[in-house]
Amino acid sequence: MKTLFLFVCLCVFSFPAFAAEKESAFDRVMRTGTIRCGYGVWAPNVIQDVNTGKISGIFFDYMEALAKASSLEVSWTEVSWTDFALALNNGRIDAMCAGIWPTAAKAREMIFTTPINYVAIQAYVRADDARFDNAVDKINSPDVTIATMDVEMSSIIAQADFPKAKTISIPSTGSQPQMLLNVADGKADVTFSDIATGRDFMANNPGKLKVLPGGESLRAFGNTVALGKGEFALKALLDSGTEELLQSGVVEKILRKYEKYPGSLLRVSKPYEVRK
Amino acid sequence: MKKIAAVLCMALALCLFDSRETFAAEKESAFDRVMRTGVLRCGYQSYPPVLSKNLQTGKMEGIYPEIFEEMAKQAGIKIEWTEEAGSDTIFTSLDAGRFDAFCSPVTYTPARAKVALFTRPFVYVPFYVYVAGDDTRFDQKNAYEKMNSEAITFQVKDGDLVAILADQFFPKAKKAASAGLTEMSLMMMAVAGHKVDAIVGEPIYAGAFMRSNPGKIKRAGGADVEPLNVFPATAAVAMGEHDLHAFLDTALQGLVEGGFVRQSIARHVENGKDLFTPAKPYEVTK
Repeated sequence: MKTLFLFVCLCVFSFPAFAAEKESAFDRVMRTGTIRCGYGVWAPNVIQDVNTGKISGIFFDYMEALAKASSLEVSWTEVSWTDFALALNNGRIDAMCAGIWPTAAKAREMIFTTPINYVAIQAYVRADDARFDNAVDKINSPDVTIATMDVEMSSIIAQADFPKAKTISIPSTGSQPQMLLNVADGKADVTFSDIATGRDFMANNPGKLKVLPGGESLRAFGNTVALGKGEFALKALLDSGTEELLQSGVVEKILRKYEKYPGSLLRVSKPYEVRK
Repeated sequence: MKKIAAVLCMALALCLFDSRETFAAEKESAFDRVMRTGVLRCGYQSYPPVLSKNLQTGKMEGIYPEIFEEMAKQAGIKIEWTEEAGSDTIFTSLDAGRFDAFCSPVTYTPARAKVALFTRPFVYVPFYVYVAGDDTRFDQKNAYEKMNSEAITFQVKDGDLVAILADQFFPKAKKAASAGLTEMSLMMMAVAGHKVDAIVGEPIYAGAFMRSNPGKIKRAGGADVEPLNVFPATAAVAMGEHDLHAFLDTALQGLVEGGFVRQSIARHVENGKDLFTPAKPYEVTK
């Protein structure tokens, strides 16, 4: 009898039909009034004061403004760049709020909000190297070495656009300035970097590198917030709020505050035109 | 004791009965199937040079196949060009799961929005009006306005977009209809031979005709006239397949923003202005 009783209890309580359905990120945000934002430090999107631990940056200001406009609060949790997809999909965070560039590979595991700005990727070579000036195609040669970072955009561009070239790659825990340094030191001939990082390096190392003429805009990526797969209700909420902040000039003010080099952050085109 | 046992047995029976649906396999989404199998099954429709099947090699060629193959490479999946679909079967085939996505140029309309999800456009197809090379009546910028007249006859094709556009923009004009499978070049020849006055068409076809038959037809309103209409070319998935839609939309926009789409068009279209690419979504501040 006891066995039968136990069996029935197990049966009743273990069937998923009786288990609560997994709560969506949108429902959780609405219930708690808080968006749990994941972040990784990546200036100027997310900047962390090493002494106080306080965070700031474009995406910090943007998400705080978006939350305020939506009568919500933001809680910030640092997550690794390598497993934020897992954190999104197992519900540890609701959104990765650090400026994520949408790619086909990432789109397998997450969805993205509308961008608040774009970042252009440029090619950098040594200042005295004129071999590739206005001849970007010449990079695609076994005689050329590209400085890349594992899994990062530089390695994707190298593989897609210049498959014949050799690469010297640093681990994904490295930084873009390290790739630029590899070119300046002659370990590589060319690398790819966003404008702000490239200009920062050139300002700190005058006369070492130049933007490759003809390689000023190899790619442009939207800076977005990433959400877990299927979280379309939360995307709709954040997209509407983002459009409001874009049209009201709030995003523009934030970008100006953090744009160290004018022109380094590309603005979202206006979705309308004025008749003349 | 027997009563308790009977109650427990009933509870068990009810539990098993209620949970049948739980145990029944939930219908797998197209996205989950693509991720599980690593294969995106594409339906297609011939539309050279945007998409065509090489009858000798069996390979798909053109702008769309290049874009989808590159997208698949970057996403770590493969494309299977499953079957050709007629204009009238695209959406029923998607709904029936005969393929996961329609990977040929397809434009959205309010009626179609009821039955499918469309990606953002990654190519735009302009339509202009063409007249005989020696016809000077429509050389001015207001050509489209002048052509909406009972004195003008448009060559159209039954059930085709050119007929819909001619009806929409030139309701007063007469229409001379050809059968649905009539070659576009034959219809343009009718314009060149003054059998009709005008035809609505895409420059990817008209341009090729003009290069083969110099001076025979020309664009009404001059070379710089605004297109009569511009159709957004997208890809489509079945209604409700939001995960697959989001995946394709992001992946394809990446190829637009990375320049791959522009490069592919340049490889396949002689005159770069015959097909449009999406405007840059960003602007540079000075």
